[in-house]
Amino acid sequence: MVKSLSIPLCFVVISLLAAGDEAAQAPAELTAAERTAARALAEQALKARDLLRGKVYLTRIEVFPDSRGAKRHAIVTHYRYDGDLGIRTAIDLDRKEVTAVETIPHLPTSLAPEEVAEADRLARADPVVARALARYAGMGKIEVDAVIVSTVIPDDPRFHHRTVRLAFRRGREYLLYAPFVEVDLTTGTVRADRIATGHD
Amino acid sequence: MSRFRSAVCLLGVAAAVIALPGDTSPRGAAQPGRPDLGGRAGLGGEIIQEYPVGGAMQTAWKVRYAVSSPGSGLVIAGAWFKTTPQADWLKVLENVRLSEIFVPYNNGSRIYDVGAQGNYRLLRHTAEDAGPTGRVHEGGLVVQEIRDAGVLWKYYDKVRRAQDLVLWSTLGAGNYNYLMEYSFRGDGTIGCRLGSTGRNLPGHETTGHMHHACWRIDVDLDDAEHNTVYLVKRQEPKGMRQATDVVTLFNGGVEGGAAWSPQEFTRLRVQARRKNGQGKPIAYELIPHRQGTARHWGGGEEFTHYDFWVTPYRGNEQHYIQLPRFAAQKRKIVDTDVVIWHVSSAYHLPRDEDGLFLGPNGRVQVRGVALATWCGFDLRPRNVFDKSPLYP
Repeated sequence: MVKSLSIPLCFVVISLLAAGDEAAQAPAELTAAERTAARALAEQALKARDLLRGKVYLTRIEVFPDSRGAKRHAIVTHYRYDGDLGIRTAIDLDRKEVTAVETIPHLPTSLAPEEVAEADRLARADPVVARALARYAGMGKIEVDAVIVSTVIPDDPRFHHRTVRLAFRRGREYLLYAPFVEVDLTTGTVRADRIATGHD
Repeated sequence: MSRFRSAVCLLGVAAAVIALPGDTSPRGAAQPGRPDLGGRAGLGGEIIQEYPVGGAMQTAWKVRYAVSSPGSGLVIAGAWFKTTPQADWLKVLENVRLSEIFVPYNNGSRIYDVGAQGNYRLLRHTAEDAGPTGRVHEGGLVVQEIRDAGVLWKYYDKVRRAQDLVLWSTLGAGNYNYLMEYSFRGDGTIGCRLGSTGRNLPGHETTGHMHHACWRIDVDLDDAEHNTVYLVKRQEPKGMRQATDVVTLFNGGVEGGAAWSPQEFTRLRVQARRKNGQGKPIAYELIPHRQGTARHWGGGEEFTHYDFWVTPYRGNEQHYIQLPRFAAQKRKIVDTDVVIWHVSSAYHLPRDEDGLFLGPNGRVQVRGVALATWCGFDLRPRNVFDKSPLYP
């Protein structure tokens, strides 16, 4: 079951506006039609390979211009919770053709917007977090930085899990009494209030 | 698309010819304490810079840049060099960008600030960012400066100072800011640097960590289809009284990796077929500026096991952390279109100068910023000139 293939795409756009005399520069923005086509091509390829199992999020589409023959290449990245799997689909945009599909276990991939929202929702529902943030009630908008964090320590509960670190802030100042929060989206659990110790 | 080129006086510095079709005056200036995140599509431009700045032209750079935000940030999308006023433009680069910024913490935590943080964007800069010889482009996302870079050469009563065209941007990476900087010197040298600054990671404020700048360098020297990469080492084995320079085909002529050795001054050489006026093949050398070398041993971290990688060019091979997979194909990298990959690293050992102190809740707090720590490398011409550059 594909859960989020209809989400707005988070894509990278590189563009060169300057025409050159040495080599033609490829158009470097994806048009809406190209985005739709790239997504559709990737989804078809994943479906054909039976890779769309469980929660699968489209996390990114990148386009890489190439002055060699004015070609363009797109790389579409999905994240699948089953197997903690990154899936990269390479697409030749000019030929509208999938050139490669790679499955990469434990690949660090960006968060889909739904995942950020889910992490924020889970964190704010946690009693420790809610109590800490209550100190700042009525003092302006509290924003949050969401960062994907992984670990290479096998005994760590975050190992091979989709873990999001949340840092609460007002403007660019991190909140003094806000806890340090990590949300494990693989298990739907929240860890809060670890205390950092001083350096030497 | 139309192309605009106009001669302008760059903040009082003459002889800078700039073509910036995407050029705009600063707007959307950041508010104090609240940087305005940029994120605009379709940006980029071309700059032609002559040297010496303010004098009769002897050499020149033509540089194309692009903005990838969100993404790799500031990207060099082509660079050409002129060794004399009469010379044709020599292509040097097709593309240089940060493929990844890998941040391993000493406690085992890992952050990938390009590949896994797809929402990070370039910040807008102001005149204060740009400094006295700078200006901003693309709505403030890109800063262009002319910098005095110290003495280029000196011989008794004669001297020539170096001047750099510098393009830089700042990636707003949550608590961190990354300064991405590319410099183009009148002697043909290209400098690529990453500066790490900002706030330490909340919850890990006191944990030592690396900032690995993982560069993808698509060198196209003259005829891109006929480039060859060599590994250059200076060897002086224990007990020997003389040293030798050893130049070998990189990895025997097939794609793969190589380590940098402080004892050997390891460098890469990309050589073209074309020859200079003295009959020597022209080349560019990648010369690292290193504080040290870190290796990481977690699963999927094999891309850190070498400091240099070389692969044949493929448009769909863009991500640094997949390098071991790419290189496993063992494709030929002799007399072909090649891509160089290099990691430059900075180690950040937290200190009070980062603004750390114990807050009233007993937890480490930050009221300051970590000062910029830089890492990077140079691409330096070898036998591109027939004589000393910028010499009378």
